[in-house]
Amino acid sequence: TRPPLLQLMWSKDIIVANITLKNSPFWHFHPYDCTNITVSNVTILAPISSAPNTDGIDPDSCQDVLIENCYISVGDDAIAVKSGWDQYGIAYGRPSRNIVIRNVMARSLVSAGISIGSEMSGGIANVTVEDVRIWESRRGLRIKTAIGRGGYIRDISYRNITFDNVRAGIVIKVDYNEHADDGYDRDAFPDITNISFKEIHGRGVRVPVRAHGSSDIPIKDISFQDMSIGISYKKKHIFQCSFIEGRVIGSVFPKPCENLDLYNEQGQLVKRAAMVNSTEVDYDI
Amino acid sequence: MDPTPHRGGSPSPRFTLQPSRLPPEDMLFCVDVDLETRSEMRIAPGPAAAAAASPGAAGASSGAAAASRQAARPPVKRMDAVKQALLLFVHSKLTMCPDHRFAFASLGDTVSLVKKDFSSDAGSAVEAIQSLDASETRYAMADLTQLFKIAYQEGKRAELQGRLLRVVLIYCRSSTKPQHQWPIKQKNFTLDIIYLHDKPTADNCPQKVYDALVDALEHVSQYEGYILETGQGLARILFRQTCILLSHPLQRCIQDDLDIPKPLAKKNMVTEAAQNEDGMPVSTQ
Repeated sequence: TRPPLLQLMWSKDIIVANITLKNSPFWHFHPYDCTNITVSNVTILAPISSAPNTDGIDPDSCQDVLIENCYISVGDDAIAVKSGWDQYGIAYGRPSRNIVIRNVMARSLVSAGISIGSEMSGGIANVTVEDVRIWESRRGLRIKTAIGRGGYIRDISYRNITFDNVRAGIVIKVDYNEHADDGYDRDAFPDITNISFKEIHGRGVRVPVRAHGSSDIPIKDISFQDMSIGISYKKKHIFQCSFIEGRVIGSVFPKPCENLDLYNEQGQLVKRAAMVNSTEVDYDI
Repeated sequence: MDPTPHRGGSPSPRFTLQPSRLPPEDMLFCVDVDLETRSEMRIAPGPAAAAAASPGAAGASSGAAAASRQAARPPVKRMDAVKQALLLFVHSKLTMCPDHRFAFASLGDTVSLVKKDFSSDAGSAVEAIQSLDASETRYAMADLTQLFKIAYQEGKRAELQGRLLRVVLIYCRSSTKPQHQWPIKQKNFTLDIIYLHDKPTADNCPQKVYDALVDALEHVSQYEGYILETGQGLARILFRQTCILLSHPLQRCIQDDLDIPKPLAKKNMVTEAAQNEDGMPVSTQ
């Protein structure tokens, strides 16, 4: 196995600042089970293709984390919040909590700018992502998990995000079936609750939203507000979701899927969600 | 030319691709002059934003200086940006091939010719562009029928001259759906659209306008027509989209296959098929 470039474990009061991390064989900075971490003014670079697992920053079962003022252009996720994998993460039981990611410029040509999961078995809660620009990427913001992960993903807030030439802006995927081994618990369903998107902008986005829950892992209490994403597809129905419960507040572009309640800017319910749990179209992203 | 003889065997046939020229383009620009073309465009986050972020008296002082600099700079209206984009287009196109020709029209309730005769003279094109003016009228409708009529007639003439007729529509209304009564007949011109709109609010509906524009384009366009849209009000995005329209209609890929950024991860088809990472959820039942 390949080593991460900088890994800190069971530590606290960490400041990583004013450095450049480059061409790691695996993840660049991987704090594991740490508390009170600040990453500031850090640049992370790796080849943008043919460089798997060169994630930028992967806080893993960490609490009280601030990642700010960073430029990350790498061959996998720029930032991925994790907390353990399947039965091992569940047993260890250390969540990633109280994380702020702000003023970050990210590029991930083959993966995602900011990821939550898929190894999130210890739980992930109270994550704020704001003032982030994601460019020339395959996915902008992604939340991924699967049966067997258990744990939870809740209270995640995205604000003032800009996509520039991104294939899929927002992706939520609950069938990311990559497991540590075959011993995972088939009845361990993660709980996804309270995800909010506000002030989301962009241009050149093929599919702005693809948020698919499942009957076992529904997406609950999701909200979209103040969203205007410039698209590059001529297709309709490019805001896709299923097995989802939540709302759109105010007017958004492009037109949201029908599985969400519509509210006006004053907070009055305008249209109840149609009870549809599937999206018929499936575009290449 | 005679193929080179090979020693000891019959000469293998040689394929020669005959050189050919792409037909030069006659381009009719139709520019919306509705009141909404007086909306202000944003240039870029100005120094005021940066100054506002700096604390302290020095920050306040430089903030004031930045504010006065900001005030001194005249605001850029949508029509100003459109004119700049057209100038960029004309000069770039003539640099590629001096045989391209241009004509200009404006769109209020219906279409009026500004400069009827097609000409490859940059000076007269510049003159026509500069004469375009945003109206103080909010037009109740936008009828494209006359535009298609003119284009159809000119398309026939162009075809006889071995040229290709293109129409570029620049549309700026966030609520008024364009309409037309145009029969399905032989398609002989290519339509591109740039759609500049406001962010969605309770009072407008750029989504419906966009859908109507897509339908119109697909109804009339001979070759692949592009529709490029932005609600961000950034002049730089408009210029970028203008550069995309420099492509010759016979040298374009289908817009929905304008695959930027390329999904490099898909080079490994086996892994991709197995992972189904961004596809529809696969039922495990």
